[in-house]
Amino acid sequence: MNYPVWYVPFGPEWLIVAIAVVHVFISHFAVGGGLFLVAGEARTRRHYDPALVEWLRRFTKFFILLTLVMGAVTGVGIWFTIGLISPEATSTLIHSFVWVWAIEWVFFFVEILSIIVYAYTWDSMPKAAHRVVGWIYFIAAYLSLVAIDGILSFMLTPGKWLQSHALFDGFFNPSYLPSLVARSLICAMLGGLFALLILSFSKDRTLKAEMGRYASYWVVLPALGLPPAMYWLLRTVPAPQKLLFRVNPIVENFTWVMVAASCLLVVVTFLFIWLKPRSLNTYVVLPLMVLAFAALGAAEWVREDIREPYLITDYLYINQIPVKQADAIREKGMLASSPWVSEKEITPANEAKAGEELFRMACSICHVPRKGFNALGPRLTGLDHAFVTALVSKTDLMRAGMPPFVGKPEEAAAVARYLMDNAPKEPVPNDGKAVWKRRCGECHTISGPFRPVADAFAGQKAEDIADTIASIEMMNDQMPRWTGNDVEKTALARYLSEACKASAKGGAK
Amino acid sequence: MIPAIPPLDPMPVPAPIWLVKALLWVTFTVHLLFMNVTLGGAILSAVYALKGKDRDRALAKTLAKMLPFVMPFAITFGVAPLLFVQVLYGPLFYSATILMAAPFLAIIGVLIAAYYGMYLLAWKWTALGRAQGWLAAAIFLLLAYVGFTYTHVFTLMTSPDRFRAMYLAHPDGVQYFFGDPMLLPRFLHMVLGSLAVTGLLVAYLGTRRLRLEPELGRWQFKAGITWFAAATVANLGVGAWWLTALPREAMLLFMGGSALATGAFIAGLVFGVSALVLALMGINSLKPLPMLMGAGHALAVTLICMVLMRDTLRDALLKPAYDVWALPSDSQWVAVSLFLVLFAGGLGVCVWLLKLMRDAARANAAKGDEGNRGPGLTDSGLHRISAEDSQAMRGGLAPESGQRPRVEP
Repeated sequence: MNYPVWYVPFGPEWLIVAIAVVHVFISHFAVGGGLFLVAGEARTRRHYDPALVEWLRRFTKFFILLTLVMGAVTGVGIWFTIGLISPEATSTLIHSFVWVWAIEWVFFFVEILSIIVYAYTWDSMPKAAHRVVGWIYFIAAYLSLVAIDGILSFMLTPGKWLQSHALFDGFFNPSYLPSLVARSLICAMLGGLFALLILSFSKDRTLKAEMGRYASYWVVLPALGLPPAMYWLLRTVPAPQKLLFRVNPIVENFTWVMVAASCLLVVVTFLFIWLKPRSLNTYVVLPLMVLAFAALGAAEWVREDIREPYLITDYLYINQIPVKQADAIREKGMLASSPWVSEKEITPANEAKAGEELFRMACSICHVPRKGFNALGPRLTGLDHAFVTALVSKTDLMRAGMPPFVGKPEEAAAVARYLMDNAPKEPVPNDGKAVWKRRCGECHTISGPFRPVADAFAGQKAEDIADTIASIEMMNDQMPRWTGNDVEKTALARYLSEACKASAKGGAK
Repeated sequence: MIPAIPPLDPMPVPAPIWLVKALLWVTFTVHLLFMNVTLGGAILSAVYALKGKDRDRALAKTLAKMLPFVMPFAITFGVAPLLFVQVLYGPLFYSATILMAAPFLAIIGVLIAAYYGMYLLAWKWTALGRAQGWLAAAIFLLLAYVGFTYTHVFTLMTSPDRFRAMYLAHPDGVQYFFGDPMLLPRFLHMVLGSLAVTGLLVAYLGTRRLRLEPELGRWQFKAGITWFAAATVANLGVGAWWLTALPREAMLLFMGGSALATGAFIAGLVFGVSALVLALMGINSLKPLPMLMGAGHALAVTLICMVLMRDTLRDALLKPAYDVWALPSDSQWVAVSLFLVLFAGGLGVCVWLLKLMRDAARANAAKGDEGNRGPGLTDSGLHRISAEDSQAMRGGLAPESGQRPRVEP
């Protein structure tokens, strides 16, 4: 609202995926891989092994190519991206945590110099000094994680900061420690995984056998610590957001991806590398890298999405509207509150244009109008303008964890007009389940965890349910008026009658 | 028209404004030095690689090998001022970047391409053959894109009255605004400055060759000074162009309107010209180093003056719409102190690391004189031991024999 909204036609999520997930993947490796390097070098202290030293040297070369270039630049990239997509949140974070960032920056330049010195002095520096340089790198890298984790975890659980606005309340927030523990374990796993990747290219079978098993410890053992760490982290998530794991399909699905990919990763590493390190080859390791990327990508997506409807819990909504300003904006109107729109008054002639500008401000952070990820058009096919207007004005009641729509009623109608114009015009199925899905399913479940209807309708005949639907707005002032036709109503009533009966018997949800 | 500037963040600036400003100036000056050497190094490497004589190509190689070392520091020391700019000028900075979001975000991809190009150039110099010069030129063009886009964003940032119309025309952020007369001279000033700083570095590296290769050293020294002098003279002209491109009130600041602006302007001019004179005086001297160091120091002072002028200009262009000195502040002193202590400590660690590296290089060079092994800091520093050697040393079998190795895990 305060800032112009960068309209990304394909949805800004993909930018986050392209930049942030890549960065998270590499930056965790930058920490864990650093530890792997110094630990590997420490092994050569016990018995000098030229092949291992040579391999570590190659690993360092790969390490700087990946972490110094991709890791560092995509880190700047995340910062660019959040500033472009969420300037309001970035500004809040900068004003609260600029000194944490500045401290992280100190660790960052120590990291860069130390890894360059480390990489270029394998031959020339006394071994003890070289090991110290490696440790300096790892400590600086880990401390940069210690610093940045405070800011990342703050966004989900700002804790006492909401009242005090004090730096240390925000930094040492409820999810800080569990998040740091989980990330540390992931760092070690990625250190081991990348070591496996580089090892898989080696032709030295002895080295592969020795270091392959050693690197597999790095993947499997920390993984055993992940479930308790994740459980601990989950316990700190506020209750409304925890519910999203059960009711928001994206969070649900990505959680499954994360869990399945992680389990598979660990099992494959154990079976094919720990037990048979000699068989280590690229065909085993590359799928492991893909699994790791999928797991971490899904985890990041979940981490972003369980903050919904907030960017900073209880402080700033995901669409850049400060929680405290929501009422004032609603009173004044969104168009009147923003300098970044051309239409200030809504008329029948400009309704769709104004709707587009409102959509850009209120919805485009997560949705696209027509086609693509989280597209709204296809979900609105078969609905009418009045009903979509009602949906737009009640977004905060939906199950996905959406922020409230803070516009005036006519602004909701304008958004609905724009969305309807973009919805595909094609026939839709009119069976009861399809009607339920498009007219009720965004806010209700039959018997599940989110506003179940089974109790209300259990034991009722379809005709009675149809009567209730016809005057549903009388039941509750939050419910929109029924605007469907009689065919839809009858089908829906029949479906509800059967589904609620089945649910009462402990059947379908 | 009233400019559409987003309101200030409800949170105060967590340190005194002067401290954030000072850190902005210091870190930006360091960024400029590294950035100049990176940009200038790329273009000079291209020029000399394409010239083709042995001595030219040797110089091109030296510069190319330097690029992956200076690039990370150019980036890192760019991050810090970007952080402080967001603290002080957030509403303007975010708005300007959103208006040209696509070219701005593209910087990330371009930087990655340029950076990998540098490693390719440095690590595969010989294998690249005649492609060296073209690759260096491509790296220069990529870096110039980054520089141009930054110049653009920071120029646009000082014109909030343009924001609304630009946004409404292109909410997708796919745009530049070429209508600002300051844009071109500002960008050229940076590019020429990069050439000048790198020229001086080339001259300095030339003096280091004087002992062992007097002729080549002298040639390189003169070449460096020539680049420095030509770029500096040209920059005096471009600087004058930039000055005349300023709005009248802003220009008058440098003509006595503001003590700081005028002082920085005069000092910058005096030190810049002094650097030029000192460098040219040393060009035929038998011991050019003192003059060169004098020129280097004068140039450093000039850079600091430029940073101050740039900052004063920004604040002047933004008034009265945005007054950075009037921002509310509430200092987080504990965090500020922690940062300053860690900053000093971090710099200390870096100095120690550089010393370690230098000692190692020296020790290795000494060893090299005895054992004829060549300099310590070799191409990539990644000296290889053959796989057979290592196997033999461990008592294992040759790795490619396909037999089961003796050492069991």
